[in-house]
Amino acid sequence: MKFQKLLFLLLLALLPGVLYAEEFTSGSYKVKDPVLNPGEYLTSSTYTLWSSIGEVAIGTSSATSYGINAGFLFFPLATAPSLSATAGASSVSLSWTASSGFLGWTVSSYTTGYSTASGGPYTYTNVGNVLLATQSGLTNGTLYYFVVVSNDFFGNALATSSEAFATPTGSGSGSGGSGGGGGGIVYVPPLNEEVKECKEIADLNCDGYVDIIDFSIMIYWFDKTPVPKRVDLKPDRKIDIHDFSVMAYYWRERTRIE
Amino acid sequence: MKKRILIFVIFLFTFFIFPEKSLGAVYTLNPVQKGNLIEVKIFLNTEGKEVNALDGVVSFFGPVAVKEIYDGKSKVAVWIKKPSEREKGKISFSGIIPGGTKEEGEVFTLYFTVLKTGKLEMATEGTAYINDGTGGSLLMSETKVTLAVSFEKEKVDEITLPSDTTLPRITEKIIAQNEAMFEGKPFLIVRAKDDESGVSDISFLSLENEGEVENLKDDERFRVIEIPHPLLDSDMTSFLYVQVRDRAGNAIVAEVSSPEALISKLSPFSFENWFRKWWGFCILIVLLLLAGFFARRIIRRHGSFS
Repeated sequence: MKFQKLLFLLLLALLPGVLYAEEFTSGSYKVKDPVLNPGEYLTSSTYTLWSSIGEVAIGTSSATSYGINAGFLFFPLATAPSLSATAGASSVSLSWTASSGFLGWTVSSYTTGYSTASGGPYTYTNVGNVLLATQSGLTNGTLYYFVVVSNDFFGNALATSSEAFATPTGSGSGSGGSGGGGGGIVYVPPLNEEVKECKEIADLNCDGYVDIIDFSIMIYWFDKTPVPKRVDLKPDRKIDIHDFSVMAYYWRERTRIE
Repeated sequence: MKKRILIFVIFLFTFFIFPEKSLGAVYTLNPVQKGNLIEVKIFLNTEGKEVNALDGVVSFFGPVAVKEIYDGKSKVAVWIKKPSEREKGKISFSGIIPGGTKEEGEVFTLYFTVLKTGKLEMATEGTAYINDGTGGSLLMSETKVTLAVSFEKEKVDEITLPSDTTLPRITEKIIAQNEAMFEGKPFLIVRAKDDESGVSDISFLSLENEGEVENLKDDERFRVIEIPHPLLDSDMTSFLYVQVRDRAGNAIVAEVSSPEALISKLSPFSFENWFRKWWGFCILIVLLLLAGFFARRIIRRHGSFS
């Protein structure tokens, strides 16, 4: 009787195992912690793509008129590069962190995109497997938005960076912006529109530093809507701790009072 | 024998079927009872990952009451929400660590007073945010701690918090202005630090006449403010002071600005502020125009002033 109870317990224990796949391996690959719904992939003003629809699947067999993806599929995935933009004369220098592929998938090249509107549409250029690029032929005094996309060997887009922005200047100096001031009134440029002197993400008052002034501006907008464009550092139309995390990454302060 | 094998198999299955989720960081609790005071240090262990922001909740259940929360030694440099018991039995907090950290360090220290003998149960949950500029997050592992607490009747009046003899420091005091914030009115930003008990509150005072900073300490007219704090029109023609107090009650006062300094540096983009700054010249110009107008009329009528 006890043995039957034990067997029953075993079956109970097995049940969730059927429902929750943990790991798959073979001689050539390993699927660790498979995620069927990988989370929020893309967001625009009109839709949010939650699944991996349209991603390139590994192990696709094809026919002349259709493709079939049999069995458990895993998808190319890579970390998003972190992009920064520095203004020059009629140009903007871009640099980004390396994007790392998962599941044996490697990043083979990057594509930079630029636009005069936040969110695109972008004009893309493949720049090869590098971490620096210069976008030239831009108009001085115009604010441009940039993204960088990591690509696999076949040219498929794996991950897209957050947007960075910069305004090319005539002198090429990339001046540190307005405002700031030592102890007077700091004028914070408009938060909802492009500011040509403001070249660095999270530097909301455009003084060349990311510090307590920018933090205080962000605190003001915490849980408020609508959110000004320049304050929404992790663009999702709300200010929360994710935006503060982006600010903490770019934090660079000076001592104002000795 | 078969049963033993079966038990072993069940053990193995349960081990593999219910694996621990791969989480990235954890809050650890280190409770110690000292008389009728319980000190609980909350540490952040990032488990090797570099994080730059965190939030969390420390829940507690038992015969205790929160006496004080010290954050002077915190790894968190700027709090978004200072640790506080916003809901009964729950201390919530969030803040940033500029530049990120991989090192283990204190987040804050909780001090409870023991109300009676019993069992104190505590649990933590939270999220850490990766220092990579994307705002990505890591769900932190939960921690649970249970502590047997004893109420010592003879020590009921001996609840002493660690001493804090140093003053807090005001590291930033700035007045800023933006059209979209506080209806375009200037606002005050203050940053302060206390290395022992931590900053308790920041308060503000606006005076028509200049005061002595030392004499203003603990002045009852100071009122506690949130940062950023909007300034009123009347503040623009006043002497402004801030007082920062630490958790142990030590306070420091500093002058923020004088009316002259404010008016000379108001935003040039606001007509109101421009007028406030240049009103004397405006009146002079109007008077000159009027004088010119009347002079012209007199000349036309009489040919000259004489």
